[in-house]
Amino acid sequence: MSGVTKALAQGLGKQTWREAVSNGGWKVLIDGNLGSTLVEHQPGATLVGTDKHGNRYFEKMDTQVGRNRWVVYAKASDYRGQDPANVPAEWHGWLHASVDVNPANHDFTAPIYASNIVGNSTTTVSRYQPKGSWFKEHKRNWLKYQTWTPPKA
Amino acid sequence: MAAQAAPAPADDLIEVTVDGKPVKVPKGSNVLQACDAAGVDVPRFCYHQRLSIAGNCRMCLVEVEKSPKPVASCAMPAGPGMNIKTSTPLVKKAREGVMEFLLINHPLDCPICDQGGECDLQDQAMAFGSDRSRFTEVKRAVVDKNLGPLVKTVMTRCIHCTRCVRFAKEVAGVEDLGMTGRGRDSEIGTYVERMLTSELSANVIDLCPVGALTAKPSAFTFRNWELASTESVDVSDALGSAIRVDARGPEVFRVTPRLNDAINQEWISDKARFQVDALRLQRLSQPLVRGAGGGLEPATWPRALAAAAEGLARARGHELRGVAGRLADVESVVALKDLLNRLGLAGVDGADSVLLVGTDPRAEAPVLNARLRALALAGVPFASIGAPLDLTFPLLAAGDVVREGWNGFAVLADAAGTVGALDLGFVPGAGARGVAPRAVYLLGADDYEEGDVPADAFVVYQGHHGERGAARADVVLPGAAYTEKFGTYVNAEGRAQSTKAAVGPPGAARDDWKVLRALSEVMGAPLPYDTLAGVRARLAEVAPHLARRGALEPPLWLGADALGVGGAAGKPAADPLATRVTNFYQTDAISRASKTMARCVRARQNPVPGL
Repeated sequence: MSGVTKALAQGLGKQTWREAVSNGGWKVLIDGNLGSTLVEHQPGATLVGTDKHGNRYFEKMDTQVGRNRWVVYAKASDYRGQDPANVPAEWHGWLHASVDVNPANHDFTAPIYASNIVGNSTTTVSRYQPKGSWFKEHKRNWLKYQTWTPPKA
Repeated sequence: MAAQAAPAPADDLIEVTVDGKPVKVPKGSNVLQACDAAGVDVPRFCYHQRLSIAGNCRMCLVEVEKSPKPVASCAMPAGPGMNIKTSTPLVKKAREGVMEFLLINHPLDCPICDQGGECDLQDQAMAFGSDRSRFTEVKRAVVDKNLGPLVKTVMTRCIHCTRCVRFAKEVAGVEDLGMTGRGRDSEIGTYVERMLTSELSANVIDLCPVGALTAKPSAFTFRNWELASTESVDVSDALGSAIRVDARGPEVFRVTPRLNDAINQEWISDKARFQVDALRLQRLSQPLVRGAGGGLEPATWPRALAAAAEGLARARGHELRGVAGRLADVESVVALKDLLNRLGLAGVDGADSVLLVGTDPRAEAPVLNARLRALALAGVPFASIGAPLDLTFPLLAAGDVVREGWNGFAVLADAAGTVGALDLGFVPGAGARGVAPRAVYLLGADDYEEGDVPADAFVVYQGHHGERGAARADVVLPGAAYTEKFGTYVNAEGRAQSTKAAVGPPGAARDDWKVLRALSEVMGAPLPYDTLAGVRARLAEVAPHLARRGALEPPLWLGADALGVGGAAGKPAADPLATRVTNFYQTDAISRASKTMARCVRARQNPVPGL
């Protein structure tokens, strides 16, 4: 039991498990992914680096192949914060063992065509709206006519 | 017209039996007309009562007793004692066979076809089509033709009924369309790439029984079952064609012709049909008052009416002038006339009151031109005095037409509001001549003469589209367009007809006579009517024939007094007689605001793309 509480506290960056629970750690009871991330992987892992969003990347080489690198999201206490779209390209490559260099120690140059990572905007106001959606600005204008603009004096 | 002859005398009738029911039809009728007379519905694609008979779709097959095979009823003359059967298993099987052949090469794109819901082929396939196809080969594909900015073509859908070809040749009088190839390879087209050069071209959209020819400006914008229809009258020219205005919510989407044998039969001009996109552009939707900075600024109705009343009150007597525009309905004209008279004035000035002898009906009223063409082809001689014209039918010298004792004087007005304003006596009074106006009331007048509106005059503009008149005005009062009000218009023949409101006026705009009524209240000379019925009762006092809607009345202003017959002979004019309508597509504030009409003008300048 003490291993689990210690892992929970470490995963959420807290000193004691009480502090961790009061800061959202209780959500492991309803979110299996969070519990898995914090509790199952945490003991004995190495913190490899932190990306610009604050996501932390861990490695533990003596576990099962394919489960030895993982990410703990910056907003891990909120299930909406566990967003793979927030993982930058270089860390994505490291997580999936496409590259073996540690992006934290490597000068990664983004290609010119790379777009800025903004994460998943589902359920937010900036989410994608199709052309005819009523949430589009021009659709909220109910006027079906165009008023004449007088010439400037 | 010849097609609407008086009922034939009894000895010109023959009796045939349709489905066991005896029916009398005129001699020379075909079997399909006999079936129609008996109230039996016969499916058809190529047959149309105003076009010649082609007999090529074969959908109207019926069984005639003693005939070994089913006969195409549109192409078979009805004979006395003929026994016609339309609901036998043989007929059903024959029509199902025809439908199966038609559907072989017809694409299955009804869900994305603009004709969906009002398609003859779709409807008749419900009755005679099979629920599955036996055709396993590849359907043919046909290259779409560019017929200009109005008619969209999807030629793969064409079933070769040739209605469009016959309409172009027989009614519109342009030999632009034709069929090339044989059998599976036959195509409707313009031989070389070329737009339809007729002012009636868009009628082929109504004629096309499938979705091969549809409206290009309104492609993919509505389904026909979403539209609410209102029966109204067209004001794009002085003919007053019967139209149906189709609207969805506050937007007018479509104008289609209504049957009126006395006026437009079942055709309307391209301008009447496609200028409606301008009803949502450049609209005057709020009162405007010229502010301290010299620009027009939005104002409330009370403020605008007060400003208009103040400006108009500065003029004394004949210094106040009213100008009625091309689209003014007689209700608002009578209200304006009453208002000006109540302010103690004797004379007002009517705009656009010109008797045209040099006229071009092709540009001024194309539907009328199509009817004149029918008369010309029937042997009636035609001639024109004035500039040379291409009217799509031959013209003779004037001397061959005018004979002794000939009484053929008629005037073709060039705007919908002209005849009504003249009928109401909206003409310059004797006292108004030579007086420079200090205040001018423009009732939808954008085509006023520069001399009618001096630079220092106070101008009130009442209308529905912002243009020259509104830009000049000191106060702008927003009114309603013809699809938004119940307004009476008198057509060139003298027929009073009423438009009906299909949608409401935009924003703060109001019915034109109501605006004048409100202004009269502010000016302290209230008009004695509060309802549309009251205005029309007043109309009936001023011009009783305007109360008899749809009836033909000789124009009051066309008597011998008005023309000065018997007076001194006038001098011949130096300029050649010519029509004032130089651009058919853009004649008034609505059509000038229309993007579709602007596209038509550009296309006409270059009817053969790439040349």
